[in-house]
Amino acid sequence: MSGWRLPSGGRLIERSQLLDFQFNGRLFQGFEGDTLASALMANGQGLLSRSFKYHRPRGLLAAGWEEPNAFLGLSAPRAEPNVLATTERLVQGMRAHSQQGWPSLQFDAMAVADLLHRWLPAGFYYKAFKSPSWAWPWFEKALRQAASQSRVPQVPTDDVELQGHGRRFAHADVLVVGAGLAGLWAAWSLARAGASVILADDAPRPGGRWLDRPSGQAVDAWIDQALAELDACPKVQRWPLTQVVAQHEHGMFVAIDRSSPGRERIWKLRVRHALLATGQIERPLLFGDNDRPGVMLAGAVSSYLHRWGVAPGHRMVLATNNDAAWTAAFEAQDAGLQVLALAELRHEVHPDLLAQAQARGLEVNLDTRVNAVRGRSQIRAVSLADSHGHTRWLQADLLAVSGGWSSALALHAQVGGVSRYDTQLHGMVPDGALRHKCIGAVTGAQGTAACLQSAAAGAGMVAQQLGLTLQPLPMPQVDREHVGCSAIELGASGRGRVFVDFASDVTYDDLALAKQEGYEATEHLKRYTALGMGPDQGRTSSVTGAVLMAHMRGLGAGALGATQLRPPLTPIPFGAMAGSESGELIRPVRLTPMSGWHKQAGAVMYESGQNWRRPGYYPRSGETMAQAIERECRTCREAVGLYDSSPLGKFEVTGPDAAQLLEHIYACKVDDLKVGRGRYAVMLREDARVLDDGTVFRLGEQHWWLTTTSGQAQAVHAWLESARQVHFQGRLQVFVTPVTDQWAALVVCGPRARELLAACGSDIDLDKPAFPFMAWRQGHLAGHPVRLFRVSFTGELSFEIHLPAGRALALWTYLVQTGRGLGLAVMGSEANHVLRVEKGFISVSHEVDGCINPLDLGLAWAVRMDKQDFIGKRSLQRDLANPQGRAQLVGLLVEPNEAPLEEGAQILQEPPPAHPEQSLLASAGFVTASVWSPSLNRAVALALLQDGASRHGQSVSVTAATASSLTYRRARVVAPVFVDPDGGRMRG
Amino acid sequence: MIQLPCPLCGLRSAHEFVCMGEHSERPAQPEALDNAAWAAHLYNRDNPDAPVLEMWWHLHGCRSWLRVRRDPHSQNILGCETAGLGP
Repeated sequence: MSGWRLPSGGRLIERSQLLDFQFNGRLFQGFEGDTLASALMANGQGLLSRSFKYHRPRGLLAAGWEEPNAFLGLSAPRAEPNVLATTERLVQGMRAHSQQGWPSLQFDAMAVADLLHRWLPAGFYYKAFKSPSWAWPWFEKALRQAASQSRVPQVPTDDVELQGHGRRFAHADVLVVGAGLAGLWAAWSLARAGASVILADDAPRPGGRWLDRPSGQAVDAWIDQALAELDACPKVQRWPLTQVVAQHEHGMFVAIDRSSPGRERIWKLRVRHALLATGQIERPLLFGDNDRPGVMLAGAVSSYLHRWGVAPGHRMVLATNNDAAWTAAFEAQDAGLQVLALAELRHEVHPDLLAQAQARGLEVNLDTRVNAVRGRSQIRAVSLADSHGHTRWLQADLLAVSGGWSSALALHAQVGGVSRYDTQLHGMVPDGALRHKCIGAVTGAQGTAACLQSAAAGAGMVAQQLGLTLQPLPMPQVDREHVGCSAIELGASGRGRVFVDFASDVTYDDLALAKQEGYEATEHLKRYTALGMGPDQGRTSSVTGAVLMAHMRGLGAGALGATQLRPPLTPIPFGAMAGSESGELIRPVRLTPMSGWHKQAGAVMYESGQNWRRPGYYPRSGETMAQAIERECRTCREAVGLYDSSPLGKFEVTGPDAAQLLEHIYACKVDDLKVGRGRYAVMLREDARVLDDGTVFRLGEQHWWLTTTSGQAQAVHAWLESARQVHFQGRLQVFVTPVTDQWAALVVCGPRARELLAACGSDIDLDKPAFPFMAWRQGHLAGHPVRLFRVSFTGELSFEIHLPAGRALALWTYLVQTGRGLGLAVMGSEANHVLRVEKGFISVSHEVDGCINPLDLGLAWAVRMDKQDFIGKRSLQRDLANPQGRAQLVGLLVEPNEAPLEEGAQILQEPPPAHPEQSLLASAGFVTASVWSPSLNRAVALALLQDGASRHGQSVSVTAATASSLTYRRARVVAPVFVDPDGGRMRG
Repeated sequence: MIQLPCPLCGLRSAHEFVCMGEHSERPAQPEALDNAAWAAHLYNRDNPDAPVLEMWWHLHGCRSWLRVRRDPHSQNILGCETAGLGP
């Protein structure tokens, strides 16, 4: 390109501040306030990238977010691919590079794809490269390489700042999206009326398209006045460089603050009302080779001239079908460009415009279209064709095109707003119930007066709903504007390929192919050709594509709607979405009072249940994981163990009707429990599948204590409240209080458990006659008020100590200290797991898979079918009537005695299939838990096996997978208990 | 994220709630139903393209179970009341 910096002007640049930057290793200079694109243009760098599929040379088409070509990679000040040059602010020392083009941007070997375009139409990969099939892996690799647009930057990991800015939230009466004239008017008007307003705009300065006009106009003074008042108003928040990227229901919006590139911040907004002043996006024209560098949107020419004081070329031709683009030609001439000709597609225009052009000495050609362009990396000449077909060449290096303007309706559409094609405006405008939230040019309003009128109407509706009164505002003075547009040109003219979507390299012929193949609907067209799927999301192409397809199908221009637009509006960095939730903070963490102690004792911490961190095992120096677990298990079975069970779900249920509620919830009987006693209890879902298991103790006549698994604590809470409020309709006199976090639970278990508690000093009689199994006692232990529950998860003599969480650490430390003399070992969840598997006790996260009822688990003793209706009873009746073939809990002894089976391994029907790969089709069950048992010195497992209860003694095949193969192992089915089957140890 | 007008807490973001899905009233006499009808109550839901009755639980609020009538198109909440007499 032959871009050059104007000697003066540029609203956004600071000419006194020079910035150095590099592009593809070459040194350039720009000004503070430049974008990367404007600075490159000022330095005459017109060739910026290679297109996606055909690797055609590309430059700048536009000046803002609608730019489809200029995606560059950055290596400084940050490493980031796919940065849009037209929106990236230039900073000192910026280093940018083009992303496609090998070995170089100028000489790209892959440009051969352009020569082969006849064999690479849309969807070619559905048809080509299918045979020979052995070659497909090579083709796939080559295609993936060719299709990639950028490289993930190689950054040393300690340089990476993982934490982005945290998400923030804001509330207001009104959100105004877009600070062009309409948005400014609405915000100003509502601010004066007393509403709280957030005005968000993605540009560094407000004014919208007025920034594209020469400065020093009457409107500028109006804008300054509006800003002064808005910025002085405490109820107004004005957010420049903040783009609203999503609209959700009920006034929820997502905005991204892009003022710190590389550390963007997400804002979540909840507003009572919103006004969308999102404006319009210009469309290019359709002609052969319309994607060459040097072909630019007419509005973008004005943008570069007046925002950044840069001219895209020296000798310009304007090709257009609408009045607004003529301004670009006039302004270009004023800036010092040579405007060779105006090529107007319409055959008549307003006489005022003609008069203006004549007064300026500009050549006007009506009924004239662009026929062709010459030049590959930069256009050198433009060929115009008149209505008779006569063509002539003009030596131009800049072709400004304008095919009309499309409303930016993405935000409106995201929340279900519909649009319709306006045959006079030749574009989509908002329609339907939500259209009143759109104000300004986006509604199709043409000219400043109409835009402001629509803004006033929108603000008026909002004010009325807020109960506020609008006050008059001064009107800006504007020159007479001309508005008028003709339809999108439908024919492909001249030679060369006509590009419709630049970002995805979709041509007019691709649309014709899609029609031929039957992909006629816009959604199909999009997916088949990739029209609108690029990072620009079809901003400059989707309306044109829809109109073209409608024409090809013989329908009216507006017959086909736009494709469904979804948030976000523009690409959002993952870092912004993560915000501060990364690393340690990626999820909330729940800790027990002993968590610090566990970590200090060298525990390997696991994530468990609902966000809990629990110790898995406590390896001593030199111990492997297996050795540590075995030691912990042995100590528990032979001496005494201590573990932290605080994440246990706990509930207090109180009130005269508490028993009635619990009778309905549990499968067992609870109302016959005496005060001081408890029971193992199972909760079922309505379909009789096990929801949770735990214990229920009677603390008082109307006072009950429930424990649940830690992972299901919230589900049980929901369950209890559902029964109380929905099933019993709140008629019962009962309170349910979750107290999981308020009470810590420490478990002392093993043959010497009583000794340890006695050594700590207690006023509770711990002997068996006074304190039997499944009873609870209240008193003191080492001076702390406690409740003791004789509950055993390990199968050993076990006391669960419950005390207020604030006291737990002190008691824990005292127990550890006192226990030293008794050979105490602190146990983690791994040892717990081994011990409970040895006993055949179920764990909801292993043996319960959503298909299992308590009878399958051998818990018939925990179910009282003679009870009145309880949750699950009806489905249990059905299950009892159909007992055959149900999976049942069994134990497995691995034979010969080798390493443990894999959890999840499939148990196969006998005889097993010849090929292990078919084993899933012949599954008769699976292994739910598998451990090395220190008590038996062999591998044992629990499993769910079809009709398992009647198969004790049989030998079965179990799958075993290695990295490369699937084989069988043998195991013998036994009763699901391996140690102390009578339970004498825990009852002692 | 939609908002629900909790009758006790006011208009709150859906983040505070757990959606329990389309509601099927528990039959007064489960034993009176045959297996097919009971299974239909357990598992089958209409999932209509129309306003539907859902149960929501206000976990991070008053812990009420709420009967919510929601229009899946507009996301308008047509009704939101406590399931029982209240929390």
